[in-house]
Amino acid sequence: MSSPHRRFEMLYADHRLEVLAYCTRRMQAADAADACSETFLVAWRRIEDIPSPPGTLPYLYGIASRVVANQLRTLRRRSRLEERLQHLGVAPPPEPLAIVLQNSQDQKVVAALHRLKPRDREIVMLYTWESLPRDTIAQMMGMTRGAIDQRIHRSYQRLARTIDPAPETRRITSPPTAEKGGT
Amino acid sequence: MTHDQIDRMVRQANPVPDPTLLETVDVSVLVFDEQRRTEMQSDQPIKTAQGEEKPRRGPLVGIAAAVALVIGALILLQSRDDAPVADQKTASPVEIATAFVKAYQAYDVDSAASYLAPDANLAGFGEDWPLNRKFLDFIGYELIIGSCETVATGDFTTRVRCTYDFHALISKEMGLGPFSGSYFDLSIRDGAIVSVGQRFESMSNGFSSQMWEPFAAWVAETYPEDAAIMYADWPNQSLQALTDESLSLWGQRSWDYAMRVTPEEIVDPEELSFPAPLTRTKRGSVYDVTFTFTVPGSGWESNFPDVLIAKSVHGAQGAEAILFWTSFPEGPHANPCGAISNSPPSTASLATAVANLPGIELLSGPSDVTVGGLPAKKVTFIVREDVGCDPGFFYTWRAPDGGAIWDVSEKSDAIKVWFVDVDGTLLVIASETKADAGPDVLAEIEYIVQSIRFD
Repeated sequence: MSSPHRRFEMLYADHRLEVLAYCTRRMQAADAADACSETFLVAWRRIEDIPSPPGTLPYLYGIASRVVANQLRTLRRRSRLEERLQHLGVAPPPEPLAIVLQNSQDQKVVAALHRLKPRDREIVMLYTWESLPRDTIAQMMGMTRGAIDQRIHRSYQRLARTIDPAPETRRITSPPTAEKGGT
Repeated sequence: MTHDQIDRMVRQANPVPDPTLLETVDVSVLVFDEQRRTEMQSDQPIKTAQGEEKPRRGPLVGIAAAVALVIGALILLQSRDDAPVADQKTASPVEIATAFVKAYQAYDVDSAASYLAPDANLAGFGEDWPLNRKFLDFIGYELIIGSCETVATGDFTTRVRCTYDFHALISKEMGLGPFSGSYFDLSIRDGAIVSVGQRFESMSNGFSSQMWEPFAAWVAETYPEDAAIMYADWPNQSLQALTDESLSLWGQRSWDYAMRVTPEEIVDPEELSFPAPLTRTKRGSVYDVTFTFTVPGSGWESNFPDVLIAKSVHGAQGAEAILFWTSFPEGPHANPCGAISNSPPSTASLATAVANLPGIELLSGPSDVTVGGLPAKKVTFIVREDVGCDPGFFYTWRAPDGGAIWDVSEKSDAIKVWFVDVDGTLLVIASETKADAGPDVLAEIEYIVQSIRFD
């Protein structure tokens, strides 16, 4: 049996980029690197609990999910603090200059994703961006396969309405008649 | 929309379709690395190793923004009705990416836009792109395309990376650069570019430390009033101001700086790329001194070919550059203005006297060079003040009849003077260039002087 250090080295080498990609898809790049590092720190502390493949990566994704959530909460608190500082005349640090050009459709899809409920959004992202099988997602989320299928289906319906809203339809009603008390 | 359509759209919108790209790609396409960003965010001055404090001069936000906005301009100006050119349907992603980058390099808006998907868009596009383009031109920005290669292939999209080097802030004329490490990442889908990312490297390749920051320090120290106009975030000096006045100063001070710090060197005419069909051999004479010289390129003309040549770079009449020769103290058409020693002159004493003329900023010299194989002295300076005669100018010259007319010297003119003793005759060769003459003319002047061969 390999030593914990050796196991961790192999784990890190095999899955670092995938975990980093997971974090990058959900955060600013600079914060994603921190989240990735934190994920593997947690993994190191739990090295004995990490399952063998094919369960290794979903397990790491699970850790990353909680790390990302914690960091986003921290960032929101920092953002509120910066707003208060601005009102006091203290300029916040400038955002890093990002020069990424995406087409408008991708931007629309990402915006629509962010309007889903957090749990539904995570399920859809794991399914489409991390390309995990639905059974694996179910295990990760502690849900049944059927529940996952339903969530994905409903989320896709919501995304369709957000991305390409259908024209509003009106129900045509007949005018009120005297018999019904109308005037 | 069907379930499959939504599924496809969501998968296509994956910000990181291939995790292996994270190995080398700066996924946020940051202009500078994390450490430098942290440093730039602080308002505290930097302590040097000598314990001095100096203000922070952030890295190259300005130029990267200018480059990005030009890309955005290309995208935004695409006609929504234009379809990609017919052969794009069969062109490979690498070919499409290469064609786009070449069109961008040439600022060919229409051609570049033709490779973009109809719904391509630029985040953060602003209205300043014409001024940013002008800024890039003024500072001598030059993009040198490397190679384009496929880095990832997905179900729907192919990602191609095109590397490039660049010159900026007259680095080419100063003998620095080109600066490497930058690239475009382009995603191609169905024969069109749907997204463009860019990494503009300015730190690890030395551009910031060799060009941007030294220039910023120099202009802040030498022309602080101009610097306050040139930089939008003055005194931080990481972003150019986009006013006409600022851009004019950028063009002028970039060139002033190049003149200021370019080391003295002897230019071997054979190293300059002037093919023989583009050169002409001319003759000059000063009393008993006769010589030949080679004129490169085109545009050099004269109504007094024995004693001067001049070149008009912009427009039809006025010359931006003149090169003439005379002798001291009896040279024809000589009009000395300055404190010249009455003792028997020598190349050294003349060079020293010129270097100490009032109203000038000495850039270099007196330095030892050779002209026509003979030892010579060289002095380079810029006219800064009007001291009552052609300011700081040793000799004045006029060409009265049409052609490239050199009027009088003015403030900001750059002057180079060579003093060479030719069998007892003190030959004075002088060039004068306007601030907007451009680097090519200066190179030609060096070429001409180094091509002199005495009979």
